[in-house]
Amino acid sequence: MFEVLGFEFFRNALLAGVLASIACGIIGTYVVVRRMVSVSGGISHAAFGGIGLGYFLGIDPLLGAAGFTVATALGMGALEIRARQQMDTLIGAVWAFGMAIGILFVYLTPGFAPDLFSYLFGNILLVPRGDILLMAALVVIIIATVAYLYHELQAVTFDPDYATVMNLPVERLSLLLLVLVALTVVMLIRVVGIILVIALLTLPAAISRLYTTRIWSMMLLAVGLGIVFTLTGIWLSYLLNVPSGATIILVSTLAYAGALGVKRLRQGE
Amino acid sequence: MSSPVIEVDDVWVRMRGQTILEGVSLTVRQDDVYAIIGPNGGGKTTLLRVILGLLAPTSGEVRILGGMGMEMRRHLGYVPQFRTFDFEYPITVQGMVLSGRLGHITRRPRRYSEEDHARTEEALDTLQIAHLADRQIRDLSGGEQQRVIIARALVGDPKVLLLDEPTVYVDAPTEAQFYGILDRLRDRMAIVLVTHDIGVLPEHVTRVACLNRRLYTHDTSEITPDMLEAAYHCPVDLIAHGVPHRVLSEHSREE
Repeated sequence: MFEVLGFEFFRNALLAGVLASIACGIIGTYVVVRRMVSVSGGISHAAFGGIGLGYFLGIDPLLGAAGFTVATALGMGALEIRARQQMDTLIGAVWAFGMAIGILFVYLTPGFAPDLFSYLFGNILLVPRGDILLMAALVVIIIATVAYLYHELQAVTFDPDYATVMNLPVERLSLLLLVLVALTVVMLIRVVGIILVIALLTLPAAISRLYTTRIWSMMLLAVGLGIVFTLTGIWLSYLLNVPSGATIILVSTLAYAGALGVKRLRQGE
Repeated sequence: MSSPVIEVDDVWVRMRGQTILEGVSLTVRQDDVYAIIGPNGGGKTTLLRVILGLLAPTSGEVRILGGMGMEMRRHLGYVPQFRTFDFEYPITVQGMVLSGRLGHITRRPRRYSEEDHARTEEALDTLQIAHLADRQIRDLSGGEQQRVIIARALVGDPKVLLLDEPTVYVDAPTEAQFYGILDRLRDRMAIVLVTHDIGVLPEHVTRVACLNRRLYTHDTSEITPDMLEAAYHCPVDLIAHGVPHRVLSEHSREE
């Protein structure tokens, strides 16, 4: 079963899985502790609008998705600061709007959209070499940003009001975090697809939360778990000849259910 | 008389067509323990948010140590309401208290210095929670959590400590302990205490004001029946005067 490692596409897939897991573990930690799961869901579905736009304009759909998600993230961030009350309705609207725009653009584009399905459900076995380099660059940016702003991001995600009173640039830091979420989402589209992004972004961090006591340790464990889930998923999907994105997510959700179950049992003792 | 640390001057707040604060003025001095009481929805938290610069008033102004700029608020120590907290956040007691120093760090990237750590230890000692330094905040009791929040406010060297409903979710012994802590702090800074619970004002309150959209003040530390009546819009019986202030309202008698 190791002869498959001789294929470049398979090595690329493993590398993409590891890079995606690093981004997910770090950014997913903030998504979980700041309770931004639904905002992230909105951003990831809005990405479909960008994919459609990419097809329509004849550019790389992922480039369209990157522009579209960053714009959505900044828009939602600005709205969150101004209209805190109706936030979940707004998220729902953006979520559906992004999907609807995407469908219209794909419909308006002449000819057949060949790998539309792989953007929705991901296909890690088709990640080209150039994308791997982009993913690596993004991971470096995320690590550098979080290392530089570690204390500030902790203060802003823990208690934004107190951070404001301490005169930290809370609005800019929140928007920065949303942009990082958006870029991570785009990076994950290749791996698990738009519909399943939110699971890979949040599940490793959510499991990690059960066993860690600090933001940095939560990130480290989440990265480790993400790598285990994606590699196991890729391996299983290869062995069983089933779609990789869905397999990765199933592995992650089962692990999450298991972790919650173990926690319950321990508390029961 | 000592110098004013907070001056609120004719502050109005209107939101969605409703007037929440109407011409509120008050002065807190260095040696004050200032209690602001009033019914829920009377604008107490709004007034605190205006003082803290978290909410811009429709009109009027706030001066802290005589200055108007946002950088003045680092002289304020804020102890927010309990339930606004996410105690599930993965942070240790020490980490949370240390974060109160962030506003004082000028170098970039922001990293904690020896002094920040020393100040944190000092605050943990003051509040007698040094033994909890490495615990998760979610694993603490309500009273311990409250002391952590106060410790975080203390490490910022505040000239004023602002507390929003500090005794709502704590039991009676914890509350007594809490007032003991305030007593130790009052020599070091002014204290502003906001509460809807008029039965539990601590002994050493120097001034009391009632807030219900408008602020009803009195020069002494006593709550007078007309202040309460004006603030609560219903007759309130003052059972005992003096120390500690104890009042019962008509409502609670009916229950």
